Amino acid sequence: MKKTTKLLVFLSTWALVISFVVVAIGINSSNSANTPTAVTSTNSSAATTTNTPSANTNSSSTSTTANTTQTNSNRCVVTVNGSQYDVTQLQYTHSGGNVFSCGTDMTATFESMHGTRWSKIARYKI
Amino acid sequence: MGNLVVVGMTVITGFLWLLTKTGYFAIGADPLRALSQILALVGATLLAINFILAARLKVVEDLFKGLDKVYHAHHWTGALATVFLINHPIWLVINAIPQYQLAKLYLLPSDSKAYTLGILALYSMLLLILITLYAKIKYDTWLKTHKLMGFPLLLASLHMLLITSDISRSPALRLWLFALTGCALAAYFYKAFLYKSYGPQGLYRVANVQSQGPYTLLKLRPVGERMKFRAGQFAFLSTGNQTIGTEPHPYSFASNPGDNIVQFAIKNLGDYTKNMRKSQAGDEITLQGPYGRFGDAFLNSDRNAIWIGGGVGITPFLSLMHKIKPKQQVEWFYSVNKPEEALFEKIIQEALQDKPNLRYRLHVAQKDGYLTAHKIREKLGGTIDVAAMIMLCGPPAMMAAMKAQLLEIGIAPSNIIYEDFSLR
Repeated sequence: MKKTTKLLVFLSTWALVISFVVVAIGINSSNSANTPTAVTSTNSSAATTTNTPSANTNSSSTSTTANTTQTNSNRCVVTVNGSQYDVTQLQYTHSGGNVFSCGTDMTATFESMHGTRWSKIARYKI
Repeated sequence: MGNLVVVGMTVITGFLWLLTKTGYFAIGADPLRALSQILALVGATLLAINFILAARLKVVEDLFKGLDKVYHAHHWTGALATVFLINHPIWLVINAIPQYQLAKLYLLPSDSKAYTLGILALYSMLLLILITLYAKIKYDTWLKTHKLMGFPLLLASLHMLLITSDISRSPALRLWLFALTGCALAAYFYKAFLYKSYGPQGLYRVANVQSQGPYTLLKLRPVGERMKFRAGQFAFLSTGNQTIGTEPHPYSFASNPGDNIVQFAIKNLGDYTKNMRKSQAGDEITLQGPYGRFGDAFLNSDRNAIWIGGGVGITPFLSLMHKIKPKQQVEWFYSVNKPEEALFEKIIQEALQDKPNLRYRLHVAQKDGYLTAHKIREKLGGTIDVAAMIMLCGPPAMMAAMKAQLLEIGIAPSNIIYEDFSLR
């Protein structure tokens, strides 16, 4: 039994190392490929819906001036029940996963999972 | 029984998790995330159980029928918890790809407190587990690293507390998991800080030390009340002497449970056991225990028995020989490498005088080759009583070989009783 458990731990540890490498390579290659055109190519639909002054003040307060453009380019705003919500951070922490289609009206999707409990996303309102 | 309880508790976690899902859709819509979630929840459950098992609680030992079995469960729950918890972020990463920035959040510390806590918990636990499984270090150094395990447990608990997920949404799942991790933290705190002073123990003084070949014989006299133990049980001995080493090691009681003076035989294997012979009359020794259920089946029935003791593994039988009931027939084999290693020959011969239902045979491997199940059967007249329990105690290699041979000649596994002392 000890041999089996040792092997399982060994294999899992390597799987973790491999996922590290894959993510590192992925970040590197997407950085080099996207740097010049990031704003327009990655999230153009989101960008078009976020061109309001208030939207900018809502972006992560910890980000420095240097990467503000980066943050903006990755911003994700969706419409639910007629209001706009900045779900950039929620994409990462949403327990139902990253279900967001940035720049679209997601009222139907929201209602299917949460009903009309709009208060659930009130804090993300722009 | 104990293992079944562990599995049952894991199933409860899985069941409570399923209740949080509104239907197949909730899992099917995001299967990898669901997989990652259940891995984390089952991993956390096993991790919590793992800590509770390590606390040497009497109720847990009763459930598993022996501390050796508790530690076996401690080993496999720990290893499986590690495997599950490592896989938890791996599947989140696979789910996130090609969003590599999102994937990075599952692997490296970030602004998100909940995520960072989980990541640190995993890495610190993994490091300590790798040391446990692969590093060849001294027992006491290893013990020190292993005691740090409470740190990852605390971080993991905070991760569970802060994360927005099924745990935060389902009151039942939340209550269940926090009860478990709460118990685990309490168990850790007890074992790491309170056990040494408040755990079951007795203070003894060395009455007599004898060195004989590779063995040290210790006779101890209680300072206060004597420890009540059953024949076949063991205790962890720790000296207050820095040069010998203060970390506790397990030894079987080798004396009549009714006697005031207790006896232990220690084979000089490692640094610590070699140093044991340096103890002197009057030295204080703390016994933690008693533990073990080796003799219970014999003590609680009238069944006949075959005792096979190899080397220092003779010790529990020296205690059990005082507890043979008139109805019980016992065949006792004592296997040693050389004649001079048969330490207790004199004590045994004396005890045999008034025990007509105990038959004893000394087997010297140097002369007759290793003791095997076939040789035992031969010496017992060609048959082994199928109703008799066969009790094994000796070096791990001998016990493994003997167990395999006994099964080969048709002995039912439930009739073979042994304890595995390799606790690490």
